[in-house]
Amino acid sequence: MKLTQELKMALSSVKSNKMRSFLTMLGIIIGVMAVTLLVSLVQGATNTITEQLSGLGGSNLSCMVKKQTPRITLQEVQALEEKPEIGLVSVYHGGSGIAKAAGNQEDVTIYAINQNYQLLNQIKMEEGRCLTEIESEYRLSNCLIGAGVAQNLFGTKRVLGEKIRINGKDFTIVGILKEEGNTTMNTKDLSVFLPFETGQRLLGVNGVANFEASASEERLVEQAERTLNDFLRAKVGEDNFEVFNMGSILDMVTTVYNVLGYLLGGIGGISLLVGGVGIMNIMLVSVTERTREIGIRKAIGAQKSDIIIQFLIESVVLSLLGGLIGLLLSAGILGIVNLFAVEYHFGVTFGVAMLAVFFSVGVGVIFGIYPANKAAKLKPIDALRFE
Amino acid sequence: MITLKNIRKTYQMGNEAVHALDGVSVTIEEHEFVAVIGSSGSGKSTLMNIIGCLDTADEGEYRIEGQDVNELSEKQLGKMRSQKIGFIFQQFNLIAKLDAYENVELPLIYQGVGAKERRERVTEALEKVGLSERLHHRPNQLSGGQQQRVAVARALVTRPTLILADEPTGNLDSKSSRDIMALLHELHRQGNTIVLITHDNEIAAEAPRQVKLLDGKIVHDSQDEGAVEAGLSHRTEGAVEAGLSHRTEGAVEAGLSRRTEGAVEAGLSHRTEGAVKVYREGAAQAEKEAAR
Repeated sequence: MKLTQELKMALSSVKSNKMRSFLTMLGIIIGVMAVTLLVSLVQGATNTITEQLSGLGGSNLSCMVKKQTPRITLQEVQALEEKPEIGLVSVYHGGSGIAKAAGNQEDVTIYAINQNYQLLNQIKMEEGRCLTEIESEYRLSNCLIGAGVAQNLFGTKRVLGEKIRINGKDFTIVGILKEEGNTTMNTKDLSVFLPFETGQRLLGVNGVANFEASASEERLVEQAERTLNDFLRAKVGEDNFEVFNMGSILDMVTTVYNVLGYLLGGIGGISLLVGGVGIMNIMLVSVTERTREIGIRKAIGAQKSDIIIQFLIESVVLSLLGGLIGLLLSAGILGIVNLFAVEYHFGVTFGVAMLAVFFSVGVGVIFGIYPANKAAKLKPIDALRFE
Repeated sequence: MITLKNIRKTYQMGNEAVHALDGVSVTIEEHEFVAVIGSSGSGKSTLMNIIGCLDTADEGEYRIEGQDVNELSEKQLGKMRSQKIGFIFQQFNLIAKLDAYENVELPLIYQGVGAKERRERVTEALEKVGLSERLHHRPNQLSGGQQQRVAVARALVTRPTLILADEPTGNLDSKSSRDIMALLHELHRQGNTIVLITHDNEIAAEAPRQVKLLDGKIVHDSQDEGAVEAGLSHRTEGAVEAGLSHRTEGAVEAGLSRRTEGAVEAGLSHRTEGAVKVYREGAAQAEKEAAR
């Protein structure tokens, strides 16, 4: 009851000094905007990048052989699946070529893949089916095509069963991939996928140069990584291969971005602090200006606590209003940024919003307590005599 | 009922100690209307601050309804002001941002009175001072007299033990002054206890009882006039009275130079024989002149 009255009085005091209140709030507005914008930008960038990195193969172990001799055979690689720590092994080979159909032609990326590749890379089908081991074994001329290839060559995605000529050889389309949309990293939209051994022949390569493996269990990732290293070292010798742990790369990137987030958030926090000093300054002025009012209030029965609450509510109202305005402005600015940076998605998350509100209230309390206490400590006779 | 016993208050002004109150004892009964008169520097403001629990005495005892005020903590003093004292100030001291209604409501908010009762009591208090038409005017939209009436309403809305009016007419024109004084008389008739502090003898004379302060001491209390008079030489009684009230003109006034006035009052307090002598000479001279 008393508190609603105090709140009403604080609001009317903020209203009666519009320009001053606004300027005071401006410090907080800028501070909150700095914090929310910087943190949200970093968060948005982190999300986008991790998403794209996991699109590259999630937590798979990716192996690349730099030397072609001695040749690593498909059978040798697939034998790795026998090891308990290793889950699936997929092989692939990439190259480029030209696809022709319906009188159109298109530059495409050609992937020779085995069945597991589609599992490990979470390939999603729009229509049709995946490629199988048997198609590879018998070197069948079947293929999957990206949504972009279908669109560009046929003008439609409903091309199941159609013929397509890739690097001069005819293939039957058995599946069309779901459209991925615009991502910076390798897009599957403009790719065609062939059964591994069919593709090997088309691209004119022998053996396996790239393969991926997943760990059979999450906790065995490092052991699987060691197994792969041992296998490759024995096969082609040190320095002739690389094993990437996509999971650890992802972790590293995330850590870097988190540190960046704290750093920028901290810089924003400093401006919030400066805003707080502004509030304290104006509250001190307000206490001096209203010394007489404080004296009157005390004479007619206000306790010390009433005066403290009055001034504290006022500073919190100022900082909270500033915080909310800052938050709204940040959301607006991020909305505009989103219009231009299509690849990224920036937004104020609930956590960031709570953080901003919490901090601005905290600033109001911390920087309001000294002036409020100063006001409350005034002796009523001294305050009444003040001119 | 409030009682003050031998109240002393000393201020340090540079190296000099100023005895603002130098042993003041007075008792004010319920339903009394007392005027405290004194020129500036007489200690009446200090007395008002102490009676109003805005300040505490250095020495002596002050009780409101039996409660010893000197023993109270700051919080309890605040409670005392909130519940037992209603202030009326010379400068009205309304809060400029609040309208008449809100100004009167404020003491009740601090007391924690519920919204419904608050509304009733505020309306009643403003009706009493004849301002029910101007509930939502801000102080700067009201005349001085109206502002002071809001202040009176604010003082009486808490139903205090004591209404303390410090020069309530000091900033008002004569008509508004009469209105406010009439209001105070009305409140007195309704049973309120009122202490009026003023330097204006005419205003003070309206109160049934007057207490005169000089240099931190009570030099005259109309209630125990007899006692004061007993201390005076019977021969000069009439002249002293005349000299004190500043009312009579002519012979006595003429005989007393302004400078000897202090000595006259010193004579009243039985301190210096010499001063009395000077006074008698003055009186004798006055008589002579009167005879002429």
